[in-house]
Amino acid sequence: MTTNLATRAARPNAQALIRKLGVGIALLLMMLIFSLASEHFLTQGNLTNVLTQVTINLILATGMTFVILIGGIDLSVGSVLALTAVIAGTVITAPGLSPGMAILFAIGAAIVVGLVCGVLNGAISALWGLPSFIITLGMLNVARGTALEFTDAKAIYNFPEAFSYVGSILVFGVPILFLVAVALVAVAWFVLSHTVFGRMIYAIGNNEEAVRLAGHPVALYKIGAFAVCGICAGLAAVIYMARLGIASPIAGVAFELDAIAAVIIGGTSLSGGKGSVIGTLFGALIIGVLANGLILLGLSDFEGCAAIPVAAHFPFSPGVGRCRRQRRGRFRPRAQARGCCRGESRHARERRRPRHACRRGPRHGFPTRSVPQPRQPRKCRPRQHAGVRDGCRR
Amino acid sequence: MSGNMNSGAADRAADMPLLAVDGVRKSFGGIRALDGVSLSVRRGEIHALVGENGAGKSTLIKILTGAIARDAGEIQLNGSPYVPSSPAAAKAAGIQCVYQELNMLPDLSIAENIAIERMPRNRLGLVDHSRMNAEAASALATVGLTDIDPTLPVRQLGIAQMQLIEIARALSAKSDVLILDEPTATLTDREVQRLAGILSGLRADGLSILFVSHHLEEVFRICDRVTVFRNGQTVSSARTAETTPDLVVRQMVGRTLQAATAAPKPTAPQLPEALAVADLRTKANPQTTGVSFTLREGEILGLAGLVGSGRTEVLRALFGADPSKSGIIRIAGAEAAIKSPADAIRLGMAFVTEDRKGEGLILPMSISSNLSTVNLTTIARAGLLNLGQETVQAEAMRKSLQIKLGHISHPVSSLSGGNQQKVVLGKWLQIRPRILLLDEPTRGVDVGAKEEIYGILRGLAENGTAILVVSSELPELMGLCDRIMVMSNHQITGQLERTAFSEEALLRLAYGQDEKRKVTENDD
Repeated sequence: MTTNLATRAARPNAQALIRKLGVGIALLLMMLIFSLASEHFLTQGNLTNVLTQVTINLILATGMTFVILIGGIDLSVGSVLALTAVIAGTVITAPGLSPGMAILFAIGAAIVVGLVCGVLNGAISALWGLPSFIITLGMLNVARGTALEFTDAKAIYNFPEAFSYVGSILVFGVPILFLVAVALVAVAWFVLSHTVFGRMIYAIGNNEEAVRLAGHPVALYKIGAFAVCGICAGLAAVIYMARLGIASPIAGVAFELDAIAAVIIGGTSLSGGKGSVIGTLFGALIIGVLANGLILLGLSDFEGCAAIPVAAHFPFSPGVGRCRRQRRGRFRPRAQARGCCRGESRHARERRRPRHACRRGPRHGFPTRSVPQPRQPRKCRPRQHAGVRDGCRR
Repeated sequence: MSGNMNSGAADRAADMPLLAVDGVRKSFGGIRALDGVSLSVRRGEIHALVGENGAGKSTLIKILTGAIARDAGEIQLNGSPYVPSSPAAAKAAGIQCVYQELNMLPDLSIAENIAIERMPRNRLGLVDHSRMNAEAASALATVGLTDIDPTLPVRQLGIAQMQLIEIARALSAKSDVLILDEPTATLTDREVQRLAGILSGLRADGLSILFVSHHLEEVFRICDRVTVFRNGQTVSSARTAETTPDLVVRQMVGRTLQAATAAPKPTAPQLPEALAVADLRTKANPQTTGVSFTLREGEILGLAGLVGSGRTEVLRALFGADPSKSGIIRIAGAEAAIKSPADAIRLGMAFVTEDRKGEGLILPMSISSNLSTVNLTTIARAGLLNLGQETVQAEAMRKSLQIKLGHISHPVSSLSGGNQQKVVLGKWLQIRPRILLLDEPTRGVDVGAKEEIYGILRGLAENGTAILVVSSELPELMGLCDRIMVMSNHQITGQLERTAFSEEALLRLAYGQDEKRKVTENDD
């Protein structure tokens, strides 16, 4: 009995391990492909560049992980980043402050502004019982509008030189800002796995009612998760300023989507309760490597835009995996019974039938470049329809 | 069909049952839900099906409506074998069912709700609204709702009208047998009378009705015959004119009247009062009066009653899980304001809920972290988890409750039902509660683990913990409790001391036999 229980419990653990490693393997594979496809990919300059570009998304995604773990979502991080940036930018360029004080005050202001926005998000959704999707969608516009109003839609620049210098330091080729982000991930990991707050985040994501009945202040922990997300948006704003030397009210548009994508690719469940910031780290790296690699391969921005979500989805979707097996022909007998050709999905067959009825008459064949073969009226040749791959898209 | 027969054949048809169930068996896992039940419903009769919770009524309904398949046994409908492969097949065969929890789409119109399974279409393939409304009006007429506009959204109706519309929907398809599962649970007396009138009208049209109810008074007022189930078997089937409510109650309980199994404890009434409740009106209580009772230290007090009588609501209100309308709660003599579960826990209360998976456990998380859900903050140091202490206390609890597990770091979902329940109990015992509230503590728990849980509870009571336990299993309460209160319709209808325990007495109180049902109109 006991051994039975043990093996039953051990199997999900092994699966979880493979799942966890899977993201890392996918990242390595992707890097391998890109390094084979482009000689520029595996250069120090390019990798530094990737890490620089990953940094802001990684910080936002780390905060987002907390919110998604409790089953919420924060759509406002991009706008909060902009609002924080213009306020911190105003502080840092305030006349009469020494550069050191200005930088400290600016970082403090960024954290406070991010915290306030996060607490507002959390308090409204937790105390009024409204879906965080709606509340943070509102905050997205409120924060952006406030940022524009605050600066008259102008950008702020001329930061102290020391500030911009910090943003460009490399440690053995690794940008120091990326190291800051990784340190933040480490802190977040510790908080999630070793504090009461972290335990409650997971518990609430899994079973909020059980936590409430155990006498814990659920609303407070939920607000805490949003506050963490807000603070991360504030820190991301500081990094943004240090890197670009500018605080613009139109910064960070659509950053929330990349952050959410990083969290989800990292294996955190959108319904909450499951996942980790380590996964998020890999998720952010995958997005960064993909974006960079596709540009190196010569895809335009627009093509890249379209390719990222598709490619990012590709290795993780169980549905895609099933289709791949089908293409190898493992499910062929059933497929043929349905009248499908080898490797062809039912949907692809249905789509094809009106124009080229494969099962009927002498004009059998596929809408491919090759010539129809009248001598094989009832059999489909396997090689011809590379074009039906779309039948596998989920 | 029947219209073509001559009178002799019609007589024979009347004698032959329309629906004949014979020796049907069904097991779920190792538990035998139906152990050879038989039932025969004639054409044009209202046939009551009664039995305690778990007697097998719902299982039989599910088999008849094609929701589950039987393991063995014969069912004949209209003289031919009946094996529904799906709910749709059952409907096509003429068996319609109206479930206790109404399946209405509240923002669609009455007509749309009635036609939802077969929307009439016009030539363009769009919904033919005028035909749909006309069909709905005629369907409503069959249940006596002629004064109602079928285009109204269902949300605007009262619960009784919704019930009738469900019946109208069921009857709008071909129907020989109409199954009504607890149709009167939410109705007032006057509405029940109206329903009775409509049902006898349907009976006159040749429809057979299987009427499942807990309310014996209605059964005897409305129905022609009554069949009693007990433990998955048919105990009796008789014309209502030839039997009595008392006899039916006795048949439901069985010959082997459960005597108190445990040796009577020397009662020590001098023990101080742990909990006193005065006129507690729960959120769901439509009456003007609430419940009042006291619970002494070291006492195990049972709370019996039918499902829906308000037992769970009392526990939830006591624990602050739901707000209550009024009431005074005294704990150890001092008045207590309990606004949230946190307040209740601070006052030394613990609450094992009935829904283990939905409200008790965090299934994917480890056994040790589930065991520390309640006292997590007290074993933490400055907000940091004290994982060592957590493991130590989990091991200690595993030993004292004898939880059978692989490893305490495994997810709690890997445990069996009984061991999961012990984990729920264990997480509350970490705070050493003075008052322990339990709701169906042995639901879905196997027999061996049940006995162990009873042992744990008795041990706690001996050490002075006051225990209030809600259960639908009367033998369980009679074996475990020092005293049992019975609730019916959000009121306490009686209290029995250990010497006076009998299932019959408890059931009579639970069915409110002594009390007339109160007429509460439009109380939503």
